[in-house]
Amino acid sequence: MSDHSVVSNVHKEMCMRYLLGELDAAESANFEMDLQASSQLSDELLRQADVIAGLGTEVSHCSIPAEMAPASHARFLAPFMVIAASLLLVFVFSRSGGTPGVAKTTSEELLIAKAWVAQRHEDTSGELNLDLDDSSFGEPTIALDNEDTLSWMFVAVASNPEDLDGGDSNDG
Amino acid sequence: MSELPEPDRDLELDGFTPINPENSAQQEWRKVFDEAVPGLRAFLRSRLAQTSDVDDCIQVVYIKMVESGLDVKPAARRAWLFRVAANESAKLWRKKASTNRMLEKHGADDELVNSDPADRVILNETTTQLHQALNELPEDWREVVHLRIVENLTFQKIADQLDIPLGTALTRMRRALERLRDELEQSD
Repeated sequence: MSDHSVVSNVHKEMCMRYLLGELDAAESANFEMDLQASSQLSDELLRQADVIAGLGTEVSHCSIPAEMAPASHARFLAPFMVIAASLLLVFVFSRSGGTPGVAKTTSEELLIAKAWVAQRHEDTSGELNLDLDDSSFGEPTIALDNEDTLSWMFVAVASNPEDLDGGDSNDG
Repeated sequence: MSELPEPDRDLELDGFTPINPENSAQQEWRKVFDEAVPGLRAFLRSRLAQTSDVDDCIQVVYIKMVESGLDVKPAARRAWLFRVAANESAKLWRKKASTNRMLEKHGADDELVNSDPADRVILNETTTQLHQALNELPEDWREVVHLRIVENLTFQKIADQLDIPLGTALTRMRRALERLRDELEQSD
């Protein structure tokens, strides 16, 4: 238990009235002189200040729902924001024609695939001279036979499998 | 921090964020602060040895009032100022009392800068406990607390409204504060 019983009830009520602004000027001046001289009175003032400030703060938080409207508003809108974001994601994926985790087909891959199909049809054995921007590949010079990334081949097979001889046998 | 030009009264607040004169709530707060400065100074002198430390604390109290004091009910504003002053004086005292240079260099400064979230957590816990304890008070005590803190009626008006002597209103309020304080100390 605390030691605030050493302060008389008269002084406790003086503290209370001082904190609540109910002492007149002369009483306030006298109380402030006592306050500076007495650590017990100072401690009692602080104890009461803790409670009164807590009551005032707590009561104000509970009694101002209108002022808290922005937070309530945001809480109300949150589910709709989530739904809107989900719909946006679905729309984006449907437009891109893919699903997460599937490699996106680039225009460069499509060009390579078409060239490769043309090559197979013409049954030529020479290297292709593709007029492509080298900067889009990891290697400075394109050599299709050495291309590590064969996604362009899968694009070609998927786009026109019947044109390829033995295309199915190349799968895995 | 810089020293205030007037150590005793009429605090000059050059360099602080100016209070918007259009905002009546801020004006009311400034009035409460101005009226409380002599008492704050007396209170802090009982806790801090140097006048410059007292001045520093009062400056910090003013800044915190501007930053975060507007939600406090009018009746509780002076009490709130004293509470903040006590917290700031305790921080300053701990910093000055520390003899460990490492702590002073890496701990105390950080504490002064970063302690506000902790203060808010403690304040929230305290107010929650107070709310629970308030509901357990006798009805006639709780009624006086409500009229004084929430309705901001003077004790004389409360006595008139409840048709009780002024001394009875004061006694009910004092006992309510004592009970609430005891509840907080027991929970600590």
